[in-house]
Amino acid sequence: MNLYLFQALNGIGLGMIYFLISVGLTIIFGLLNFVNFAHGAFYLLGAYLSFSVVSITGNYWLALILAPIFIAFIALLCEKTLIKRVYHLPHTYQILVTLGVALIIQELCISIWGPIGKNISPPDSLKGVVQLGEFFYPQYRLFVIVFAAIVAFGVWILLDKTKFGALVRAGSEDAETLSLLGTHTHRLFSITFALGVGLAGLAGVLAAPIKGIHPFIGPEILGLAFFVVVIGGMGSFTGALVGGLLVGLVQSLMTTFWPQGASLMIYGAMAFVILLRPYGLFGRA
Amino acid sequence: MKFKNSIIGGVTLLAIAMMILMPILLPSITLATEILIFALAALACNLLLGYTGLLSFGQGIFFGGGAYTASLVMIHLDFGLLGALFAATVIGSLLAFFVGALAIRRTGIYFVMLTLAFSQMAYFLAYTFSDWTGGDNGLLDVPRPPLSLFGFVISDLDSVESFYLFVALIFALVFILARRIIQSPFGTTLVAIRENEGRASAVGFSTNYFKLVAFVISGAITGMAGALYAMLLNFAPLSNIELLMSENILIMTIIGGTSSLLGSLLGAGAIVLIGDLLSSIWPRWMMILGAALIAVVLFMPGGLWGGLEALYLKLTGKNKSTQSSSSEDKK
Amino acid sequence: MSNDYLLQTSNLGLDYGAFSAVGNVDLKIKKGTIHTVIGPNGAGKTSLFHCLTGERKPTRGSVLFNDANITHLAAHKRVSAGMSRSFQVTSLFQNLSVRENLRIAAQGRDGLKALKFWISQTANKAHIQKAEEVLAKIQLESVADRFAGELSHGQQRVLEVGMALCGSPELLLLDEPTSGMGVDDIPIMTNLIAQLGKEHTVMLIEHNMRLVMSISDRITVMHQGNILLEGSPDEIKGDERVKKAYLGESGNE
Repeated sequence: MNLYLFQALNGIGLGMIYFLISVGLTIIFGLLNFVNFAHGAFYLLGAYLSFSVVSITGNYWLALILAPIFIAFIALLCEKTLIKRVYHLPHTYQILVTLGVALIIQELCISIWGPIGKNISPPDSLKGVVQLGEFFYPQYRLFVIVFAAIVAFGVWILLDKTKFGALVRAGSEDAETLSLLGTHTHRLFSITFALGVGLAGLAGVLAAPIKGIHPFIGPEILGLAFFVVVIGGMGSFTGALVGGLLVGLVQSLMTTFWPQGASLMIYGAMAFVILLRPYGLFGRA
Repeated sequence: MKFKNSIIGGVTLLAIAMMILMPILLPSITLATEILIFALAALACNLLLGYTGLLSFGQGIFFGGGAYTASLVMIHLDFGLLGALFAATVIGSLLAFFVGALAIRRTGIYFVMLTLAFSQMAYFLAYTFSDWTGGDNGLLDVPRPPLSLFGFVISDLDSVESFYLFVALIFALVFILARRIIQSPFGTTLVAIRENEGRASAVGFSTNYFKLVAFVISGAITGMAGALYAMLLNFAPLSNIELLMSENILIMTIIGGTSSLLGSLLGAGAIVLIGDLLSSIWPRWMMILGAALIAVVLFMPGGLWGGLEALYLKLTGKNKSTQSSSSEDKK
Repeated sequence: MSNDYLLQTSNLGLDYGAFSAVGNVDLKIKKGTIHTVIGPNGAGKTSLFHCLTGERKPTRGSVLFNDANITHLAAHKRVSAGMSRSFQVTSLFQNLSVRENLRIAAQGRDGLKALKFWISQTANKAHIQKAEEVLAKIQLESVADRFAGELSHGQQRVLEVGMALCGSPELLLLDEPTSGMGVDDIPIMTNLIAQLGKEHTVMLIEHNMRLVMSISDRITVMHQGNILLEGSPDEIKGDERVKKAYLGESGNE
């Protein structure tokens, strides 16, 4: 019983991380109708940046704050120079351009931080365990769940309750009308892109002490993110949350029973979902 | 110009010229052979991308599948050269049929994701069934049987030159076949599907059938390329079926230029050469690939071939609009 | 005699969830006639059209073409059955020449026969011939080698109809052929359709009343998903019910 609970909690933690990665991807697709194949690479960059910050300052919290901001900034630069040129092009071109970006980022990471992975430990204050009922659970993993949930709540507030969020949601429906109504859609797009990618970077920082940092993990993360988005429905916040948790839970539980099959199952399930229900649970037609 | 549009003339001659020059100009003949093999894969990828408009991340499935198939039938079933190539082509087609039949049920980004998912699944299957595939280590000691017909040995294919000649012959044949395909009713239908699938359907084409046949042809050629690669290296690594292989093939196709079959040769040539030149000096040379991909998509959508074509037109003072715009001019 | 009717629908209906776009339509199109369907926006004309072209599967009822039940026949298969359609929103092969557009459309009639990837495209002279015929009929010979995307809007609308012609159809289904056309170009379309009416059965959706009245043999007026009334142009012209349908129940404006 304890093992299941343990894995379930792990699954929720993992799921929240997947949510953070995917929500950016899904919002970017929903608003910008843009397919970002570099999303996994930004996650990787976030993880590596946090490593550097921790190496230099020894302070994980600093990394948690600085790395995502830096990622968002780089994303903004990317958007203004490259991404915005491809908005109007078919998805194929977007995929190819962001594939190029992903390749560049990946190779850049390896050239800076080397081809072997890195590790960072959780901050000292979270190195211990927490007692939940009759068993113990790592403090850091619990922190990840709580922190990610707070961020999720924040994103939800942003999308649902603020003017910015209203603009994003309106733009997802009809960007042209939005611009005719006076909104600077370019600015909206840039900020949204930076925000979405920044969340992926944040996910990288959060996940680093748990999963480590491996230079070739970008494509795998991208695949998982797309899987979550496909299950949840492209453009849906709720979908990203539900999808992320689902994938995280299933993956965690599978690792106990059939670790080799986990990846196979994920991609098989993705193909299954796309074939049967491409709009996912919460997606729009 | 009738001659230019025949399957032998024009671009085919250029391709043949390149095939003659490559072993002379390049630092090694093995490199030239490698270029031709990947040119085959890129050509097959282009049939899907450039001509049908399908972005497939699954070409590695057929490439790796072909490599494994050829290796296994040669090692375990004592198949000869042609038998192994045939087997690889057949398996490549079957894999493409399976992947294609499922993937084309969706369009756009969902189609792409399906090919990606299948690619990853194939990778993990190859990794897991290591008894067959050698897993992480791949299949070693893949033979390169002699080329023989009806019991008569034509060539041992032991030397780099003889194998190059063999691969070059195959490439030339496939190239000519591909030109025929493109200039056939089938080829023009693929272009129609790429240009406006809704309209193609409305005028009577069962677009799914055509896409599937394109997939199968692509898989067959790619499978054969994979087999040749295994024979070249005497080795069938796991990397053949990795997602990265599919991406590399795509990159070659795009950088070379998707409007022409010759683009595939140019793209493969460029990527293999640059890789060969740079990989020992700068292990992170793939960064350039990424940058080149972005540059081509944004600034030079015609790829290397498009660039050369534009240069040619500029130099000869011809105007693009004076040329016929019909798809009969498709190369 | 059912032979008189090339196309018949029986109890045809299309629902989107709780909303009935098409309620219960019995449309009969006589062979050799030009039959126009008119009605205000939301009347269900487009949905009806979708059912006839196979773009949508009806929720109830049936469609008979030449007495054969084609209700569930896939859209692309209807071409070889003898039905061809044009699009309301121009849908051409923009980057191919006008001639190639037509040739492909002619090739489409033979459907799967185009799977022959081993023969040369020029080997099938019939398609090239057909394209030339249609080119002459729609009078676009002068721009035959231009990209379809370079044509003026009016020329593109005419090409739209030409594409449908290449399928050698018995029945032409035209969706608002004059949509967006300038006032100078409309007579061209009017004449074209009138000419086509001599050799084909034509069913069209239209909003341009002058065209409708001048060339239609029969007019069906739709309103809120059902047929309001049918008749010759003269019968429809003065009918109060038609006016009311277009102007709304309140009769305002």
